[in-house]
Amino acid sequence: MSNDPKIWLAAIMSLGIYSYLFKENPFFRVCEHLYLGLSLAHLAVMGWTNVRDLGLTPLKNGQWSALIPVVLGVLLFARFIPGMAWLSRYSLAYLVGVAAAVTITGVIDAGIITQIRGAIIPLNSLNAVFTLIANVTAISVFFFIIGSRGENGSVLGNKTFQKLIDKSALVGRFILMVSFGAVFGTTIMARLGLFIPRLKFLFGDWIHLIPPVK
Amino acid sequence: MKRQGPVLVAFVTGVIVLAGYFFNSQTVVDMSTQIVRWQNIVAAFALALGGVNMFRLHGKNIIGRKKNWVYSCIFMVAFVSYFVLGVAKSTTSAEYQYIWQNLYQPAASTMYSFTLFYMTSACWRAFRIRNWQAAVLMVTGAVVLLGQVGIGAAISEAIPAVSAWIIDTPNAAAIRAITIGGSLGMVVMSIRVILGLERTYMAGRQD
Amino acid sequence: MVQGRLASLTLLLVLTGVLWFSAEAFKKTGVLRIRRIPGLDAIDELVGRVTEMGRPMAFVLGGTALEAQGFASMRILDYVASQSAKYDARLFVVAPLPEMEPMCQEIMRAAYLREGKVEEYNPSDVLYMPGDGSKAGVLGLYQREKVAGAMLFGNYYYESMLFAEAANLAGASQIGGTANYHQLPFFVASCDYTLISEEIFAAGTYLSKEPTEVGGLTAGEVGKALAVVLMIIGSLLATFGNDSISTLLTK
Repeated sequence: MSNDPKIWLAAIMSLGIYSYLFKENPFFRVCEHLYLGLSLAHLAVMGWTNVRDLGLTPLKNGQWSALIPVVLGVLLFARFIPGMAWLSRYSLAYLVGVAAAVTITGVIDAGIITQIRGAIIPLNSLNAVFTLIANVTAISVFFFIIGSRGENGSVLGNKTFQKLIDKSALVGRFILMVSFGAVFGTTIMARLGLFIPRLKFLFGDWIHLIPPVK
Repeated sequence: MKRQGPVLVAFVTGVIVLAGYFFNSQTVVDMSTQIVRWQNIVAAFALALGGVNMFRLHGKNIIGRKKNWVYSCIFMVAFVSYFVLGVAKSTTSAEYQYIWQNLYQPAASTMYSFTLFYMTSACWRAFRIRNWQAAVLMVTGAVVLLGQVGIGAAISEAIPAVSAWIIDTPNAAAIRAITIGGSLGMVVMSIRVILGLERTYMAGRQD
Repeated sequence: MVQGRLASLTLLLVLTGVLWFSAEAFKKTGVLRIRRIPGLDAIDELVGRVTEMGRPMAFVLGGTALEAQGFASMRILDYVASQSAKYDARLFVVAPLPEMEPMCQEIMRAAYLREGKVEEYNPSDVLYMPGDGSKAGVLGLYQREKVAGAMLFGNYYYESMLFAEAANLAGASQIGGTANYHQLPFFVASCDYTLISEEIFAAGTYLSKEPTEVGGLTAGEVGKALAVVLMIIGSLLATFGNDSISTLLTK
């Protein structure tokens, strides 16, 4: 068994977390709260570094524009002042506005245009035809209005069209499930690859039942 | 001021960031970059706010000697000491790294490896098939899993070939469809947010 | 104009235009056609179940950064919070980001206000759980509070499997939803109902039927129809050596 306190600390933490698999218990709770405290502290240190490097240092150097995010940040705390809570909405609105725009720039090309371009293939083999059918039917799973019977009848008022979309969505759903199965199958192997090192650590590095890794 | 002001802020910041993406104007690109960078500062204050809230919650537990207050003490000690250490000695210091390597990382790795157990129990439940979709998922999962290990090829040479085809063809099509559908949803939601039509984040229906 | 972004800008403008016009059209006609989304119908069922059992439920948002899936999830939270307030079901909300926590607080408070029960709202039920530690925190919450229902929405990563299966082992029914492709299989395998990809964005329309929500859903629908048409025509043309559609999309 290891004499290294570092190994013991890591082993105790690992076992504490694993103990949840048996039952939620005081040992797990200790590790859980320790983990939560360390997580928050680490994020807070990162946050403090950002405020210092991107806000306070530029301010000291006379870059007054850095005052804007600092003020927006401070305004978040207005929610603790009765009657002034609405001021914090400005900070949230800024964060939300940026997040929305960054989302658009992140997905509009890579997630839509490039994907459509990638789906355009010459139909010169059976597999290519199948791929196009699979693409189209899988997208039809996400038709909410087209072909819907809805509250007030169908969109085009055509039962044949409705049935076509229904069938397409059914095939599409089958394709999605096949694909989810593929992800499940490949991920199990990856997760096994994460579990084995923990076992090696506990049985090797800690209790030396198998040759230590370190 | 209470409602329209924040909506205007979201609109202006959103439009500037979008303009910086689509157009070449250096002024606009600079403004856009600056606005996005500021996010790190405001988010850091938000983190402080989150920290204050956790502090209040656990502080109340401790002062009121509520159920499980001892664990709140553990949280407080871990948070305060590690934060002070990080600020006073930096995250690259030996002391900070000691805790990082020997407490934080083992917890993170263990948590991650947990998923294997849960995947197994989810498999078990899904195998007691609830519907045709779960059946398709599990059968395909088994084929792909077998296709990746030697035993699959030993059973039949067709298994690795089918597994590879599943990954390359129907799987690729599904990824494309989900990506297109999800991305359209994200874009439309983001447009609504920028235009001030989506205000749930400030409890949009009430003043 | 930045080279190669014309197609994206055109799409953005088309979607905005459709959103606007269809919202206006809905205001006039009030006609909405939308297919059933079982995962959303199940929300009321789940709230009813936890109310009957007298146990709480947890709404756990996913995400490492504020983005559109977070907005969509908060939209669903708005509805769930109203239902919980109406039926006096205790609801724990777990926010993975500190900036989401005040937003969730506002949503919850407003929901209780709408139901005339603002004094019953407990801000301590909205929890910010930071970073990696949140994984252990949510698992602990499930068991200690004996949750009977879990709703998991947003930008999930590996914790999708943890949160969904742990809820199941705690005896809770679950509804999950994400647009993250690699996490969907785990929700499908573990949850009672799963909202797949764009379904989480359709939730707002489905649950509220507000004109701009309907406009948004219609815009997304037009986008998908356009994608299908371009794929089919583009592939047919490509078969005969004409790649004009692909070229158009690179502009």
